[in-house]
Amino acid sequence: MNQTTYKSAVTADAAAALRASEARLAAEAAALTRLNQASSHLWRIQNLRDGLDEMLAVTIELLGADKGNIQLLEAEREVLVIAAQRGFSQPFLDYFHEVSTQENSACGRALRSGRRIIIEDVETDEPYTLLRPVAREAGYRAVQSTPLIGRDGVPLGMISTHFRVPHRPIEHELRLLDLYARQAADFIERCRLDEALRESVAVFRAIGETVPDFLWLSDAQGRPLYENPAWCVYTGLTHEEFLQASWEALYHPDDLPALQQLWAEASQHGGTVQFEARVRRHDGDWRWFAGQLAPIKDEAGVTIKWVGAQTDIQERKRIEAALKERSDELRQFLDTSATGLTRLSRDLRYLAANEAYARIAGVPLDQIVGHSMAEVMGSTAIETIRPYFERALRGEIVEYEAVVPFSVAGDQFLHVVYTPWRESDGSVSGWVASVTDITARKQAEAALQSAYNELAQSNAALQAKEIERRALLRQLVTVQENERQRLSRELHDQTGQHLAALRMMLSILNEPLQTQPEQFQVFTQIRQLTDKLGQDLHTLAWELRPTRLQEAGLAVALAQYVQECSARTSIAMDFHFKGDEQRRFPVLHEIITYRVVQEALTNVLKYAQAQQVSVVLEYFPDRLRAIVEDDGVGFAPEKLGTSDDGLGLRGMRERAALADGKLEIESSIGYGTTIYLTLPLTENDRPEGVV
Amino acid sequence: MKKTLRIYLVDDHPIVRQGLRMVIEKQKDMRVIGESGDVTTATAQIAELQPDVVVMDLRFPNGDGIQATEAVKRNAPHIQVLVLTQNDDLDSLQQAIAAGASGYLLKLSAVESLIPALRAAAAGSLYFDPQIKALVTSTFQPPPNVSQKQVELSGREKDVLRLLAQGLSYKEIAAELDIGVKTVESYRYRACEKLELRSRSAIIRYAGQHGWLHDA
Repeated sequence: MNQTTYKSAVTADAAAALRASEARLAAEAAALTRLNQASSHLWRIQNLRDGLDEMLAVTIELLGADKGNIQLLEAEREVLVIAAQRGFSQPFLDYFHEVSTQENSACGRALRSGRRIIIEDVETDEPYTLLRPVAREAGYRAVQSTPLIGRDGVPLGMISTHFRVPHRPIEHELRLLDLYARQAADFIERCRLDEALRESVAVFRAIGETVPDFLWLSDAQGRPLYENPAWCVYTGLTHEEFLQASWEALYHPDDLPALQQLWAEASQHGGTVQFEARVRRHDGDWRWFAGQLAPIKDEAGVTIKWVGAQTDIQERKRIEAALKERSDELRQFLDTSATGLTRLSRDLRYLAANEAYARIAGVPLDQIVGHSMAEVMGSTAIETIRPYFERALRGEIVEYEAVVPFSVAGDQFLHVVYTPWRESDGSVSGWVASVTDITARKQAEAALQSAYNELAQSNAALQAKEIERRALLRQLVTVQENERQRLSRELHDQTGQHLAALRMMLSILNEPLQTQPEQFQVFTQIRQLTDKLGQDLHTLAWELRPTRLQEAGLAVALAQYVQECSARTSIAMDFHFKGDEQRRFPVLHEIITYRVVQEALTNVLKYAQAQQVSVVLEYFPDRLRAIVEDDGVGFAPEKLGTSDDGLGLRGMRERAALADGKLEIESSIGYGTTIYLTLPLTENDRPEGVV
Repeated sequence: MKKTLRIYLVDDHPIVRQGLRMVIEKQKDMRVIGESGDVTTATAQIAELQPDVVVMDLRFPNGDGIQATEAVKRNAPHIQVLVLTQNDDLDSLQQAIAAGASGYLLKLSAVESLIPALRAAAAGSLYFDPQIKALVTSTFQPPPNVSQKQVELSGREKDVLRLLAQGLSYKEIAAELDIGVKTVESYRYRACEKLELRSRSAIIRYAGQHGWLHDA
């Protein structure tokens, strides 16, 4: 070959090479232009699906591929799902509908490794063995899969292109592909962000439409941008009317100054504020609302909008007011109570207390509630009452009286009732104490007790004296009885004899003096006087002497006495006896009975003008009873009560009392008089065999 | 010529003996042949003197007139003994008669009764002081009549009588029957009128006879 030829040949080669490189450059420039166009086009596309189709078309064109698809990653399940495809039939789409990282397909491997995978020929690629039938069916021999990676490095999806013949894209194509994949990933992220934004706006509106609360939006200066329907309905204003109206017109004049100040502070500092105010309803009615106003700020921290919300708290306000009223009432109720009331917790703290309790404890009320028992009453007092409140904490109702040594108030004599405080689940969380100061009562009781003791003492002394008196009187009765007998005997044996002798001697003078009338008259008077004296003396002796009481017993002696009395007075006297004639009683009982009957009969003879007298004597196992009844003139019962009844009734009563007996008198004018004497008999007085 | 009655006096009071002697010796046919103040001396002298009548007291500081009477009558049954005493009770009378006394005189009425008694004794008959007679008579009173009347009593009348017979007072009966005291009284008097019962004792007897006292 010659030099020229060589030179021309070289020149020709160079020219060809130049042309080729020019052509390549032109192609690259065209591709870049195309890419640029595609990118700007993509920016204009709002819809994800349209964007994906566009991206796939551009990529296929770029790589000169026959078919392709774009998969999006479902991050949670870690699977790729086909979102766009071109040139595939249904079986392929079904087969690759979802691809996991485990699979050996190009996309599976690319996802696993995070890098692009190029399979030049599926027939020679070992890992692809199992997928070959699918590839043959779909009609491709080569495939490349390039991951789409988001800004923050998170995989978003996969773009794959397929070739009918074995093929490997050149380096230049792949660089362009990478550039485009970057654009595509941005597009996917942008679309997703838009969707989220659209969703959140929709949610905000939906919330705004549904909540009963009021929501609104305004610009930084407070000009209305949006009002939810509830707010419009309540105020009766449309959005246009909101624009016209001043917000101040909506709130109660009394609440306005505070609101205005809040607004001023909020707009100055851009912070969230909360308020409560009355808001005018469309019909002019005012209701309470709780509101919140919060700024929306841009990235620079500048407030761009305000969002407001208001909740109806009318009912809450009403309940609060009612509750306060109830609570005030209860407080007053508790504080006017004279009983100390307090509620304590298991850890020995005061949860509540009233004024009366504060007075007992000697501590101001505000230093009790919330404080511990140790602070208010002191540890000594706690130990004193511990056994009681521990029982209350075990669920018992406890009542006690004790002296409680308060550290401030000192010893307090208290009456206390503990009631366990139960929670809704039934557990005992503390107790309620009802505390009454009973110092005064105890003092009164003590005073009463000592007065009572004194009384009892003097009573006992009096009783002792009375017993002594009775004993003396009993003794006196016996002594008197002996004295009577002595007197009776004296009258009988001495005076009576002398009187008898006197009468006899006087009788001697009867005859001689008859001749001397004057002397005889005197003599007769002397005799009469002597006779009278004799009779009186005899009667006296007879009355003084219970003839046979000692030897024969009461029944026999009384029978005889009544008989003699009847004989001496010629008044019908009827003695009735029921009992054992042999039964004997203490001397005192016999004497008393005998003498009382004697006295009663003497009264009958003196006053009654009776025609018939009954004397009844009856022995019972536990008592004896004597009754003297006459059918005489009787007397008015009013006379009975008087001390000086003239009938010796008092003396008879006294005698009866000496044997612990009872004397009763019944009488009425014209119906006679009855005297009942009842003497009780003790075990010892009763005859044997009688219980 | 009438025989003089020889009398012996036994009494521990000299003044009584003196009075007796004065009264007796006013009688021409009576003479006190001896006297003594104690029963032992008297018994001996009576045995020796053999009087017709002995006037005997019952009570002595150192002796007993009843026993002395018995002794006199035992030794000489023909000697009459007149008891002259202050004791006016039936027991003493009974004992004196049992001891063989021919008469019973009370000292206070001795002035009136002594001479008739002595004459009666001399004649071998008995003599008793009128006052003692009344006492004796009362002892022998016939048992009180129990009403035999068959009268229909009302339930309340019967209740009142039954409770009266049990010894209850009007007040107690009123409480028991739940009626007034005055009402009890009037039931009683109506019932007693019907049955002619004049006293509580009579009511008791009537009740006993009709078996009212057992069902109480």
